[in-house]
Amino acid sequence: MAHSHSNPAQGANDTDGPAHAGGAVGYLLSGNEEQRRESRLVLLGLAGFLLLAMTAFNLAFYGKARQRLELEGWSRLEAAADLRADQLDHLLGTLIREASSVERDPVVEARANLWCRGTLDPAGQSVLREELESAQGRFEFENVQLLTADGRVLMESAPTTPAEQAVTHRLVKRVLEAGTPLLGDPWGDEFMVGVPVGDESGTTGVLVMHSIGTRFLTPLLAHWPGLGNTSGAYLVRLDGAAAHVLSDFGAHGGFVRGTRLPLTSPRGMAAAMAATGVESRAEFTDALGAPAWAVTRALPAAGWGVVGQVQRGDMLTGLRTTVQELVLIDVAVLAFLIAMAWVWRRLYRSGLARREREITERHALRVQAILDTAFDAIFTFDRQGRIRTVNRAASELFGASAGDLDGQPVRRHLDWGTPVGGALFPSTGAVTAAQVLRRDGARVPVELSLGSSGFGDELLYTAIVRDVSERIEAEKRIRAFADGLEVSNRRLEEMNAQLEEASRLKSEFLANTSHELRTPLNGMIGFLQLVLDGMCDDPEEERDFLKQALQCSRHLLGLINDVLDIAKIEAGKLSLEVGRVEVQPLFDEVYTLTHVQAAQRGVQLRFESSVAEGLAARGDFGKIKQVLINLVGNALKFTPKGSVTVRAKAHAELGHLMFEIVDTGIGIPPERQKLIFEKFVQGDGSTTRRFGGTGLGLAISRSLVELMGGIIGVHSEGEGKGTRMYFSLPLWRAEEHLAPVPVLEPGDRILGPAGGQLVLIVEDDPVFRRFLTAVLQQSGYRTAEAENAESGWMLVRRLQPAVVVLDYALACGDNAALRTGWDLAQRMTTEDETRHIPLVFVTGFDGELKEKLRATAFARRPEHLVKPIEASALIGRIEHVVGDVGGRQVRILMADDDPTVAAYVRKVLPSSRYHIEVANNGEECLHILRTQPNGFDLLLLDLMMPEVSGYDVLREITLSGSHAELPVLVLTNFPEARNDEERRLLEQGLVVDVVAKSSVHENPQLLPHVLDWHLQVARENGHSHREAA
Amino acid sequence: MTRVVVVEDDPHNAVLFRKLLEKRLGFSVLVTESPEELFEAARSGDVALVVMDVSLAHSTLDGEAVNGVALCRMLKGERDTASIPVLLATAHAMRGDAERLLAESGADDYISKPIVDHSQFVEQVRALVQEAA
Repeated sequence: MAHSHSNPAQGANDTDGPAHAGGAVGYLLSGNEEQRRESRLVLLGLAGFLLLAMTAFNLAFYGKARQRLELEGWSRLEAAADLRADQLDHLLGTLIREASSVERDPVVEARANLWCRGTLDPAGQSVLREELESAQGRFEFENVQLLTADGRVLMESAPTTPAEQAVTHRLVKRVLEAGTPLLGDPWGDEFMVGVPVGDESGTTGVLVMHSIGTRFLTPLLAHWPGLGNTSGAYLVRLDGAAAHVLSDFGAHGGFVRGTRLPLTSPRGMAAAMAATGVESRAEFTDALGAPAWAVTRALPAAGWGVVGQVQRGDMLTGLRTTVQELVLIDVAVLAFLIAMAWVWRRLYRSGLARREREITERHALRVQAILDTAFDAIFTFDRQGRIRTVNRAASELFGASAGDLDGQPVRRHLDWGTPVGGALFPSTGAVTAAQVLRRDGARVPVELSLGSSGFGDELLYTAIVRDVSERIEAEKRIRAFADGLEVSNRRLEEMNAQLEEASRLKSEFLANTSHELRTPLNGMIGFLQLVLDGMCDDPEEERDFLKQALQCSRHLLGLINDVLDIAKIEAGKLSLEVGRVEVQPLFDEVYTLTHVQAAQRGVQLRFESSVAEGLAARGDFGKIKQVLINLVGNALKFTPKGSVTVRAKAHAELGHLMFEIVDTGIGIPPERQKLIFEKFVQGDGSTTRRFGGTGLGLAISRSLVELMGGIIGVHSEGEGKGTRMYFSLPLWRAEEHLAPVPVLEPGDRILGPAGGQLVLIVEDDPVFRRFLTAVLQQSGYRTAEAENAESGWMLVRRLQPAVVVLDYALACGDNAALRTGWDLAQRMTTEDETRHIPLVFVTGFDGELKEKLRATAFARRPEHLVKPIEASALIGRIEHVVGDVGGRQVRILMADDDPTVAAYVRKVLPSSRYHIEVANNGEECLHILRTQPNGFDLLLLDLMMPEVSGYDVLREITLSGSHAELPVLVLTNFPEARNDEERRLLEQGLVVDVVAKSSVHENPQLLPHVLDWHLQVARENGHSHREAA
Repeated sequence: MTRVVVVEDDPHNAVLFRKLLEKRLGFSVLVTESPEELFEAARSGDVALVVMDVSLAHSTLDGEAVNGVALCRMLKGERDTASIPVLLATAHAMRGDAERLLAESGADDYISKPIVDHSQFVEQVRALVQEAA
C-alpha cells in the first residue's frame, strides 16, 4: 500500500534534486553533495595533470623529432657536402693535373722555358704554339697563355681583355711565388691554372690555361638535390682577414662572386674554416635573416674550401609534419579524454541518481511508516482535490483501502462545508470542523488541519484529520451531565431554600407562640398576684381583677387549641365528624361569636345565604364553624371601617357549596395572596404584628377545608381594595344519606362495554361519579373509579387507563400525600409511565384551575404557525397569544437560525409596536431566556434549528418549569412532529384538559367528545411512536 | 407625685401595670399605645420612667407600624427624653432576647413577661426612678 503511493514524491525528487526535498532528504543527501564536490576537484586535477602530461609529451615528441631531423639534416648536408667536395676537388685536381701535364710535356716544357728566356726561335715558337693549341683542344681549354715571369704575354691562343689580363697577372705572380701550379680566382666563367715554367735554375714563366669552369662547377655548386631550394654551395679562399667568395651563390639569400666575408661574422668564420681546410658545421643567420646551416669542406687540390649552406627550415620541413602529427595526436587524445569524461560523468550521475532514489525511497518508506503509526488520518491531495497518498488511519477513517482512495476527489470523503469567501479548500494553517463521509454512509465529525507545499501544478495539500466524534460525544455527555447537575442544583437550591424557609418559619412560629402564650400568662399571674397581695381597694375591684385573669386564661386556652390543632393536622391526627351541615345554624353560631367584635370595631357584619331549602354542606360542623369564625375574625381585624359580608351559595350542578367572606378592608397585595395560607406565615412575619393572633388561623382553615374536600382561596384587588375569602364544601346529597358510600374500593370494579377504552374517574362525590360513569359507559368507554387522589394514583399505575378524568377538589385522608386532583396530576407528570396519559379535569373551579395551569409550564401548549407566514395572520396570532400588554411595546424573542425569516418578521411587524430580539439558535434562545427571565411577552420559535432545536427549547423550558407565563408561538416548516414526544411538546404540552362541571351537566356528550379527541391524539402518538421505533 | 408611662398593647396587661404601679409605688401612671402620647408626656419633663412593651400590635407613627424597640430608640435619641429610664417589659423571653432587645433599643433594664415576682419588678422600677432622680 505504502510503496505504490510514494511515487509522486520520488518523481519530484528526480527532477528537482535534493534542493527541493524535505529536511530529512536533504540531510540524507548532503554527503553526496560533498562527494560531488570532491569528485569535481579530482576531475579538475586529473584534467590539469593530463594537460601537463600532454604538454610534456608534445614537447618531448617535438624535441625528439627535431633532434632526429637535425641529425638527419646535418648528416644529409654533410653527405652532400662530402660528395660535392670530393667531386670539386677531383675536378680541380684534374684541372691542375691536366694543366701540369701540358707543361710537363717535354716539347712544351723545354720550349716554353726557352721562350720565356727569349731564346726560342720562332719555329720553336710555332711548334710550341701548335703543341699548346693541340693541348688546348685536347683538354678543351678556352685559352692557353704563356707569360713570362714579368708578366709579358708570349703567346695566347685566344685574345684576352685587359680585366682578364689583370687576373692573369695576379695568378702569374702567385705561381711565381709558390713555384707550383696554382688555381687562380675564377673570372667570369673561367678557371685559370697557372703552371710554372722553368728549369733547374728557376722558373722563367708561367703557363696559364683557361678552362670554362661553369661547365662542371655550376652543377656541383647549384642546388643540392634533396636538400631543398635554399641549398647550395660556394667556394671560398682565405684572403688575408677576410674570406673571399670565389663563386656565385645563387641560392636564397645568396651573394655574388667576389664578396668578402669578414672573419668576425659567423659566415666569414665558416668560410675561413672551409678555406683553411677545417671541416666543420656552422649555424648562422643568412643574409635574409633566416637561420641557416652550413658545412665546410676543404678542397686541398685547389687550396680552397667549399661551404655548403642551406636554410634550416628546409632541413626541418619534417618538423611541420611532426607538429601536424602532434596536433592530430593531441586532438585524438583530447577527444578520447572528453569522451571518457563524458561517459564517466554519465555513469557517475546515474549512479548518484540511483543512490538518491534509494535514499528517497528509504526515506519515503520511513515517513510512510511513521505516518501509518499516527492515530490521525493524514493524506495528501492535489490542487484538483484528488487524493494522492493516505496513511493507514486515513484509510480506516474513510473506510476504503488506499488503492481505492487513490485519485478520488477528496470531497467525496470529506465534507468541510463551504469555506469563507467561497474558496475551494479551507484555509491552510487553521483547524476546520468537517465531517468524514464513510463509505458505509456514516458521517464522522472531525477536525481538519490543512497545509500546502509547492506551487502551480506541483501544489500539494497535506491534510491531518482527527476523529473528534468521541470527544464530541464526551462533551455532549458532559454537557448533558452538567445540565442535569444544573437542574439538580437548582432543585436542590430550591429545596434548600424551602427547607430553610420552613425552618425559619418554624423558629419564628416558636418565638411567636412563646410570646403569645406569655402575654396572657402575664395578665393571669399579675392580676391573681394583685388579689393575693391584697392590693384591691374593694370587692368590686377584686372581682374585676379576677375577671381580667379569667379572660387572659381563655385567650391562652384559644391559643393552645390553635397550636394543638396545627400540631394535630401536621401529625395527621385530626379526625372529622363528617355530617350534614345546614347553613343557617352555622351562620347563627358564627354571628353569635363575632357580632360583638364587629360592633366594637364599628363594622357592619352581614350574613346572606341563598342556599335552597334542603341543600346542605357535607363536613364537620365544628370545623366549618371554626373556619368561618377564623375568616370572619380576620376580615373584621383587617377592616377598620365598612362591612364584612358572609355569603353562602349552593352550586348544585358543580356539586359544591361556596362560602364567601367579603370585606371592605385593607386588602392584600397580590404577592402575599399565595402565601397567606401557608402554615406559620403570619402578617409580615415581624414583631410588629398589628393584628395579633398566632398566624395559624388561615393555615388551619385551609387544612380543614381541604380535609373536607373543598378548596379555599383569596382574592383581593390589592391594598385598600378589600378582600374576598372563599371556600367550598361538597354538597350533601339526600341519596347519600340513604345509600351510604360502599366501603369497598370503587376502583376494584371495571365496568362498561367490552373492548371500550378504559377511563379512570377520580371523583369524591359519589353522585357525580355515578353520573360520569353512566355518561361514559353509554359512549362506549369502560370505567374505573377512585374517590380520592391516593387511590387514584394507585389505580393509574395499576390499570394504565387511556384517560384519567378527575376532580380538582377531593376529600382525602388526614395524612394523605396526595390530597387534590392537582396533586395527582402533578404526580402523574413526574413518572414516565404515566406522563403520557391525558388528564381531563372536570371541576367546578375551572377558572381557578385554568389559571393555575397557565401558570404551570407542564401544561404548555404552544400555538403554531406554518411557514410561509401571512403578515396579518402572524400579527393576529401574536395579539391573541400575548393579550393586553397595556400600551407598551410587545417584546418578542425570536429564535430562528434563518436570518431571512428574522428579517421578514422584523419587516412585517411594525417596530413602533413590537420590539424583536433575535436568537440565532436554540442555545442562544435559552441563554437569553435565562438571563432575561421576564424580558419577553412572546417567544417566536423555529423548530428546525441545528444542535439545540425548537423542541429542545420547549423541552427545556417545560421541564425546568421556568417561563411558565411566556406564550410560545411556533413558526415552522415542519408542523409534523417526528415522534410523540415532539408532538406532545408541540401540540399538547403534558396533556391536561379542563372541562367545567357545569358544561358537562349542560351537555353530557361534551366529555365523551373531549375524551375521543384525546384518545385519537394518543393513538396517533402511539402510531408515530411505533414508526419512529 | 412620680409620673410613669406604660406603653402596652394588650388591654389586660395595661390594666395590670397601672394597678401595680399605682398600688405598689403610688406612682401616677399613663398607659398608652400611642407614640404621640408617649412623646408628648416624655417631653413634658416630669416622666420618671417608661415601661415599654416590645410587640405593639396597634401602634403606628406616621402611618408606619412601630414597636417598642423603635420607640425606645427614638426616646434615647432625643436630647430632652434621653435621660428618662426605659424598662422593657416583654413576652419575648426566649434565650438571647433580653440581650438582643436591650442592645437594639438602648433601654436601661429588661423584665420578661409573665412577671412572676411583683416585688422584683417593683424594686427594678424603684431603682430606675431613684437612679434617674
